[in-house]
Amino acid sequence: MRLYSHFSFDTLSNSYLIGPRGGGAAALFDPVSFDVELLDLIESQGYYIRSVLLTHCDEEHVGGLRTLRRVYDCTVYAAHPTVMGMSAVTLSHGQVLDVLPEPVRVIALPGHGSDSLAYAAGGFLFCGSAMSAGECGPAANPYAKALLLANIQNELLSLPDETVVLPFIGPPSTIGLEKRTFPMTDPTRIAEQF
Amino acid sequence: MFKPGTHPSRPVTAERLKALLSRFETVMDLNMPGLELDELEIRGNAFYGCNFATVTQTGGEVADCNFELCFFPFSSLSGVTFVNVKMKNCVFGATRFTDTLFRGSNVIQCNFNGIQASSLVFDDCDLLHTRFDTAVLRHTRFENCNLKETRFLRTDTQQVEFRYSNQEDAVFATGGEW
Repeated sequence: MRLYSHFSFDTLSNSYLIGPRGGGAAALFDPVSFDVELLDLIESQGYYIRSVLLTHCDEEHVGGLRTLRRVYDCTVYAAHPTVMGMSAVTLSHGQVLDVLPEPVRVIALPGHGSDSLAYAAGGFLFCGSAMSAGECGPAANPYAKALLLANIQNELLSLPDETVVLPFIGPPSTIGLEKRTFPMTDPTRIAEQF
Repeated sequence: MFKPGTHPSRPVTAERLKALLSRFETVMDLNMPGLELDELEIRGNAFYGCNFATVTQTGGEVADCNFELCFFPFSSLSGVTFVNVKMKNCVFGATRFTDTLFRGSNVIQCNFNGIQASSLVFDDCDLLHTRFDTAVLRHTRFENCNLKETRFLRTDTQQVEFRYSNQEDAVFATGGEW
């Protein structure tokens, strides 16, 4: 598989394009915007977007979805059955998708939002805004934050150290590095999260 | 992009890396952790999706190069100079920097979380959206740098000097208020 990131300078957030080497059916994670740069990237690599996987259904994660679907006949995968009035395949925790050459495992991360998902595929973790490098994502209240921290600890930080973490906001990381710098791994800093 | 968790490219030697760089201007998907490099000069190469975790580099200069989605975590860089380098989405987390200089470079959305730095200088650099969370920065200077959305969360900045940089656009927090 080959991975590309697309950084939106408008929103300072990331989309990720992943597909087989040599082109073909590809998947796009969180189409925050659909601009000429992203279109060039997709087309220059010989890709056709077949799948759009959402880590969250907030407007900021799907800003480019409507335009994207005008260009590509793609299926949207999310925790909700409809996104921006468009139908989506509803996902739940533990499902395994075959939209890429390697299986994509769905991980539910309630706490950031009820519809918050992460995807693990081929040594990559697409974790949305539930976590980013050195930081737990935002939550509505302390209870949600505690739930999110527990889910990150149990579901994400338990992945192999070499797993590459690809968040919606901020730079990439690895699970091994997050175990060193993530607040949850230092008991003295858990209180700071509340 | 290198495949995480797979065996590194063999043999993992500085000589092999030098041979690759002399043959190919663009290097993609290279998985070469644990390299030991001494006074290596790299000029005019582009790197995409490469893994150089736990590299030890002493001396040398990296000039006019592009790096995107490249990984250097848990490394040690001493006496290395980066000049006119464009980096995006690169990871240097938990790396030890000694007498290291970044000059005239774009270091966009890179991960310097948990680094230990002594005499680290960023001169005329764009550090948009780069993170230095939980880093310990000794004798570190940011001069004439763009620090928009550059983040220093729980960072030890007591020995950091900001000169002619827009640190008011950076994010500083010690923990509780974040």
